[in-house]
Amino acid sequence: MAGYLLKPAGAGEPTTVTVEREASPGAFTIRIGDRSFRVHHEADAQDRGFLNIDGRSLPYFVYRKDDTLQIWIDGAVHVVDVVDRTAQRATSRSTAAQRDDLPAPMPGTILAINVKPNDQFESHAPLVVMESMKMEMTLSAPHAGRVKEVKCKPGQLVDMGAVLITFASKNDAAAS
Amino acid sequence: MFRKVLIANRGEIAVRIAGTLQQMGITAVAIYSEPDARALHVRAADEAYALGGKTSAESYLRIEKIIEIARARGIDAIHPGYGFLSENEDFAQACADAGITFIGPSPQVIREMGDKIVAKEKFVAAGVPVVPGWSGSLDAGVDSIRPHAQKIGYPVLIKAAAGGGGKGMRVVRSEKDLASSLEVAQREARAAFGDGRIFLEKYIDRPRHIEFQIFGDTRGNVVHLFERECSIQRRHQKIIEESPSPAMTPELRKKMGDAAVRAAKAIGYTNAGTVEFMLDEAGQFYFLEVNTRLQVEHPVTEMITQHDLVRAQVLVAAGEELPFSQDELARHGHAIECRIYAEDAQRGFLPSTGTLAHYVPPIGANIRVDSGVGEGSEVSSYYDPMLAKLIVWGSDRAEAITKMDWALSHYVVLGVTTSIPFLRAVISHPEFAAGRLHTQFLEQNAIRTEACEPGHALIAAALVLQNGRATTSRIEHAKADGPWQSVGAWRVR
Repeated sequence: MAGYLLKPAGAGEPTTVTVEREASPGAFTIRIGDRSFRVHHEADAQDRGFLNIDGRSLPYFVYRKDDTLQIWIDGAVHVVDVVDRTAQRATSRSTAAQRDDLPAPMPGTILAINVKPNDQFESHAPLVVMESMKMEMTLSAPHAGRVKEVKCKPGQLVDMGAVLITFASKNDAAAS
Repeated sequence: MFRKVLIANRGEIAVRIAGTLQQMGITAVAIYSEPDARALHVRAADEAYALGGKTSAESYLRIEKIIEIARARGIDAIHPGYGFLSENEDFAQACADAGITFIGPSPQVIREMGDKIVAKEKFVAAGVPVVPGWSGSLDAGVDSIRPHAQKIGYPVLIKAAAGGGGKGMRVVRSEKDLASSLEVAQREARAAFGDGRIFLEKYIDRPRHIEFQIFGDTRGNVVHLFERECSIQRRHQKIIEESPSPAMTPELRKKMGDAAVRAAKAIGYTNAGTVEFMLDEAGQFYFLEVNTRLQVEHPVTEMITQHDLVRAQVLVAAGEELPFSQDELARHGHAIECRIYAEDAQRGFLPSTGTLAHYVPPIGANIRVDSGVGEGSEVSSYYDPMLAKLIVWGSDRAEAITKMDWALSHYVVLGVTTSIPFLRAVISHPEFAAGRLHTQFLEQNAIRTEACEPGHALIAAALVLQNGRATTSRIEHAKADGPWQSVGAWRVR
C-alpha cells in the first residue's frame, strides 16, 4: 500500500490518499480520508489514462511540475500539491497510510540482500541490490526499523511491485 | 490571382490565413521570430523565412525586413492579419511602394480611421450618430476643457486620440476629479502612443459593444455582414463574442447596418473592416471607431453567413468583385466565440507561460477551433497570450451556449493556466443566459469558477504517483519518483 499527502489548490488542509493494489490487474482501492473507492486504472501513457469508478469511465491527463500536479479530469482542471509523496513519510504524519515493506521499483534480478530477519537498520540503509535493464541499483530503507521477513533471494527474477522485504511493525517490536 | 502571399503575423491567425490561401491554390509564406522557429504557423505555411529577433519590435514589426523578404521571395501580396502591422499606414504604403499588394484598405483609409478624431468627424459627416463629445485641441489644459465637460454633462470619458486598449482612458464622475484625471490620461497617452492629444465623450453606463462587419471592393460595392456583440470584455479586451446580438431587432439591425455601409462608402472603404458601436440601454447607438482589418472574432460571422472572409479579402485585394451582394447575404443560427488565453483569471488575468504538456481541442459537429499552438508548443511572454479561439454554432443562442459549455469542458490544455474555467463560469451565468450583456458585465456580476469536487483528481493523482514512472512529463523531465524514492546509487552494468 502507498500513501500520499495531497493538497488540492484552495483547500486548507492536505488530505491523505492511500492506494491499495487489488488482486486483479489494474484494480485498486483508493481511500481519501474516510471515503473508499474501488477503481480500475488503465494507463495510456505515463501521464494520461482512464479511471473507471463505479462503472463510469473518466479519461484523465496529468502534467507535473516539481511537486505540483495539474490534472484534467471530468471536464475541469485541478491543481494538487504533493505535500508528501512517500508512503512512509505520509505514514509518519497520518496513521491511515502504513508502509511496512520494500517493493521492487521495477522488474529485475536480485543481486544481493544486505540484511536478514530481525536486523535493525537506519533510514537510507542499503537493504537490497538489484539489476534491471542493465542497471544495478541499491534499494535503501525508507525509514529506520527492523526486518521481519526477507521475501526474495539472490538471482531471483522479481516483478515490479513485488515485496522484497517486510518490516516489523511497532507491535512486533513490542512482542520481541 | 496572386501566386504567393506572405502572412505578416503569427499564432492562430497566421495558421488560419495559410489554410484559406492553400485552399485557393496560393502559396502561403510565413515569417517567424526566434522564439517562433518551431511554431505551428511556420509548419502550416508552404514556405517560412526567419525575421530574427525575439520581441515584436525586433521581429513582426520590422517593416523593412518584411518587405525585403517579400521582394527576395517573389511575393505578390501581404496579408497582415490583426494586430502587429495590420493597421499601420506606413506598412501599407511600403507594400505599395514595393509593388506588393497589401490585403486591406488603402493607406489613406488606414490613416484616417487610425486617428479617432478624424474618424469621428468623417462619420458625423456621413450622418452616423456619435456619442456627444468634444474633440480637443493639441494638449488641451484643464481650463479649456472644463466648460466642454460641463456642457456634455458628467460622467464624461477622457480618451486618447491615438488610443486603443484602454490606455489614456479615464472616467470622470465629477468636476473635482477633472484636473487629476486629465493629467493621468495625457501622461498615459504620451507614454503609450507618443501623442498626448485627448478628447471628451459622454460616458455611457452599461453599454453593449455591437460591431458591424463591413466589406468593400474596388468597384464601389460595400456591404455589411451583420453584427457581432462583443460586450464581454476584461481590461477593455473582448473575450466572448457572438452573432446575432441578443439585443438586436430587424429594425435596429437595418438602421445600424445602413449607417455602417453609408459611412464606409463615404470614405471609400475597401476590403474587410469593422464599424464599432456602443448601444445604450434605451436602444440608441453611437459610433465608436473603425478597425481597418480582419477582426479576431471574424469566425463568428463566418459561421452564421457561411462565407470565408479571408477568401473574400484575397479576391477583393486582387481586384475582383465582392463574392456576395447585400441581398445574397443571409444569417443562419447563432455563433459564439470564446478566446482561450494562457492566463490566470483568479490572479487578475495574469499571463501564464510554459510548455503545453497536453493539448487536446474539442471535436464535434459545428465546433471550430482556430489554434496557434499544439502539444509541446512554448507559450512565451514575448507575445499575446491568446492560444486559440473556440467557436461553436447552434440553431439558436441557447443551443450555442450549451454546445460551448460542452466544448470548453472537453478542451484539455495542461502546462499553462488557461481562461477555460473562467469562460465556462461566464457562459453559465444566468445574466449571460438572459442575454443581458454590457461592457461592465465582468465587473458587475460575480463570476465564480465552480470549485469542483477534487475527489476524482485525487484518485488520478495518487495512481499516477503510485505508478512512479508515470509522474514525469514527457516534456519536462523532472525528478524520478514513487518507488524510485527508495533507489540509492546505481550504475550501468
